[in-house]
Amino acid sequence: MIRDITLGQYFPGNSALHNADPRTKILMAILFIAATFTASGTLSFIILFLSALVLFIVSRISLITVLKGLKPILFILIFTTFFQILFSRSGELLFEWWIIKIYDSGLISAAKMIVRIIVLVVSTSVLLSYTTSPIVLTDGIEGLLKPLAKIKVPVHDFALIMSLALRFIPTLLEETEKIIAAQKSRGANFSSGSLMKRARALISIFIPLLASAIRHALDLSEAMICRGYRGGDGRTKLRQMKIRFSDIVWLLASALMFAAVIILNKYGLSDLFGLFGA
Amino acid sequence: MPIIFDNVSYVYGEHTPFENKALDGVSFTIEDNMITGLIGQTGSGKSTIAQLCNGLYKPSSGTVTVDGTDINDKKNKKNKSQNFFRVGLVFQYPEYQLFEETVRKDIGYGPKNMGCSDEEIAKRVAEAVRFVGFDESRLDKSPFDLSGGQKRRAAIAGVIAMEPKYLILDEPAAGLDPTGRDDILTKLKQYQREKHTSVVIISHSMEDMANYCDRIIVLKKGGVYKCGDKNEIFSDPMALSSLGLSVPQITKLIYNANQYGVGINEPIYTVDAAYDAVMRLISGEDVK
Ligand SMILES: Nc1ncnc2c1ncn2[C@@H]1O[C@H](COP(=O)(O)OP(=O)(O)O)[C@@H](O)[C@H]1O
Ligand SMILES: [Mg+2]
Repeated sequence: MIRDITLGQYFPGNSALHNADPRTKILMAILFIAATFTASGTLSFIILFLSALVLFIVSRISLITVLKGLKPILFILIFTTFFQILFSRSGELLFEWWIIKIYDSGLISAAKMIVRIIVLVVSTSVLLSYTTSPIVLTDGIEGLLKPLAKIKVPVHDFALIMSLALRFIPTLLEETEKIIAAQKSRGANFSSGSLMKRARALISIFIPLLASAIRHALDLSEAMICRGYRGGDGRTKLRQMKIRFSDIVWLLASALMFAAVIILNKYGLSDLFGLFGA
Repeated sequence: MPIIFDNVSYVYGEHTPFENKALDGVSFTIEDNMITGLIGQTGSGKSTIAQLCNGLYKPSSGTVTVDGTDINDKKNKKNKSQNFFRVGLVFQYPEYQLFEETVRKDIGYGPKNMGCSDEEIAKRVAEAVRFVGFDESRLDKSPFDLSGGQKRRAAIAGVIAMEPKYLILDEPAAGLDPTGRDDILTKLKQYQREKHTSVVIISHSMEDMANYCDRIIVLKKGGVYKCGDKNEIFSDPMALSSLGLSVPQITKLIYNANQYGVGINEPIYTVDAAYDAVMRLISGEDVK
């Protein structure tokens, strides 16, 4: 059913990551994204992977949830791995059969690709989705963009628009379901017939849905005016965001991870062994 | 032939963490050529039953039989869309589904999907409009420009125009003012008397049930609590009250009066009937 689609899954909990300030988590996510895109050396990738593993363990989100989150990208993962392995033509030849030649560099770059994608998806979804409710996330975005308000960017309004949009997704989904059922009962056919006919059937959903969205918007704006809403100035928040010592630790650790990834890019795995050998 | 529910259960979100059993083994019959009232508290499963009747939902177990055939039988798959036309369903707040440029086109949407010719559509629209008492001069207006009551009528007409053998209306009077309520329900009663079809009215107002229905099915938390003609249903008004359903005020009044020994023995659920009974009592006809 339509209702089962969840946009941004949040799993309430009480882990250190759940309790971290949303602004901290957004900045951490940015650092992780930056790190995944700058990493190139093998050592860097190991650091990256271990850091993402730490996030996952601290968040206490179940492995099954994370694996389910990876399911949509499984195809891309397999596809890119396949091509990386088959079409690399440098380094040591490991295996040859008919026209298939597999080189060690192909395997290594495939592994890097996999780590890159997994870290990207796992770190951002753990930080921004699994441990942060959408409303808190918009609060965080608003908090981070606040300095822009000084140059007249309507930060508060953007944040409000975003949280309202998130709030109304389930409502509109439910209404879509009802409208579809009602039009079906009048013989609308969404799955067969000519293209023209199907397009008409879709119109019978879109127009009532649009009308309903507009109705909600008008009702909501009137209700807000009646309750004295007057924009962001001087408005206090129910959930006060506070940067605590632990937030600073998280940020420093993430920054350190990013720095390590950049510095270690120059060195490969052999350098590590060389280090111990010396 | 009637609509027969045989031991029907329905579970929302089956096999998900959100499982919710809405109906639990209900059996009843919706008889031909009369108005059946389906009543129950919010969440008792009325709307679910409505959508099982026309095949939008498939029972988790049990069968729904319309005109002698199981509508969810795989062999009747081709007739699936036919069933939408045979069992017309008017959803709650049906005005939210209007979408065409003109009311005329919107009412004609169902018949058009059935493949009716233009003349046939025009004929059906005219008839449906007459049944629901829609102001004909507004047929070429946009449905979005109508008042709430007129929108409701247009939407109901859209289903009546399909000339369904069974017409099911989910809370057709919800959200209307008292005059609008009475007017729509009266129109529906006239429609039934004229077409001799089967009409099902879903409501949680006992008053409406008493005034407009011939037979009543009372639901309680996903099961059938009671089922029968008006006299049977209203024989024990206090039991209905304990279900959270309002008994018609006049029934309650007579019931309380009887507690003081007034002695009106026939079931009373309309003011007119109460008037007759009291007059007879006063004139001494009923005195034992
Ligand atoms: N789309 C749905 N998904 C999940 N549960 C639902 C849905 N629709 C109704 N229900 C549940 O099914 C039960 C019966 O609902 P419904 O048939 O709408 O009752 P009524 O029309 O009598 O108010 C309620 O508990 C309701 O919460
Ligand atoms: Mg309902």
